[in-house]
Amino acid sequence: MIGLEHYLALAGIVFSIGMLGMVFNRNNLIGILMCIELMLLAVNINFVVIDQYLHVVTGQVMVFFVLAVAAAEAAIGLALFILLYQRYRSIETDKFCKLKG
Amino acid sequence: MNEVIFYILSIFLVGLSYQVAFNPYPVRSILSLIAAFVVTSILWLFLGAEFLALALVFVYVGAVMALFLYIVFMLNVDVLPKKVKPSMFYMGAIGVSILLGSLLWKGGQRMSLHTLQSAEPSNTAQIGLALYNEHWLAFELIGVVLLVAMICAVALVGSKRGDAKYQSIPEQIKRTVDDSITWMKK
Repeated sequence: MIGLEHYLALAGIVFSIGMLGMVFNRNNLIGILMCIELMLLAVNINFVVIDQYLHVVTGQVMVFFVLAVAAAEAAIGLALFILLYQRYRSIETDKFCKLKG
Repeated sequence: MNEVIFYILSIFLVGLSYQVAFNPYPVRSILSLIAAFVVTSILWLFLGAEFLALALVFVYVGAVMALFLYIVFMLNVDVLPKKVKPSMFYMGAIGVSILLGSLLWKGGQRMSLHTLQSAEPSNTAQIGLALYNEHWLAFELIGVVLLVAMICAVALVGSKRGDAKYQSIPEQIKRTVDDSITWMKK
């Protein structure tokens, strides 16, 4: 049997990589969205693992909701990227310094 | 055996996460993200969360990641061409065979387990009971969230732009010979 801490360490490493990626390639909007997905994945791993060790299914229901919200976020985010690309011909965050209300 | 597969999959997952975060080519990042989702789904299968493992592959990889991939293809994020080394293909082949092997191994193990002792309800049945008995309001609300997201996406991208030309089908159908041709002499 693999210990709980191994799974939690794995999820922590994946979450940290996602966060570092978000910090280091903050110039690329698609990269930021993918790193958010990676962080959500790490959180979902934690939910499922702790669920299995406590013998409940509430965490898995939570993962279900997280997946749904992440799908909604991806749909709206990608729609916004298309709008920005149509207007600025680029999805680099540097190009959006002139966004005003 | 379980431990060995867990550590192999963990190394895969960390490597793929690194590729997602730091690969300069967006298409490769997305393909790595898809592979990371598949690896995670196998890990969940090992933990006994079969419903979520399959939902992750079907719903997330099949729909959301395909959407990502299409958007990146469409947006034409310019990158420099780079030659793919042939060793990458061998690495990929070995990786895919390890993944498929562990998936089939676990599937067979669980199937034999379920035929032996089927007193406890399956993971899918447990999630279904929890979802519809205790969390039914959240379940309904998440449907509303998805509907709003869909309407937002369509309204954002599907609305007509002022600077583009569009075809007007009713006007084209209503055209007759009389108002589209002018006779020079009769």
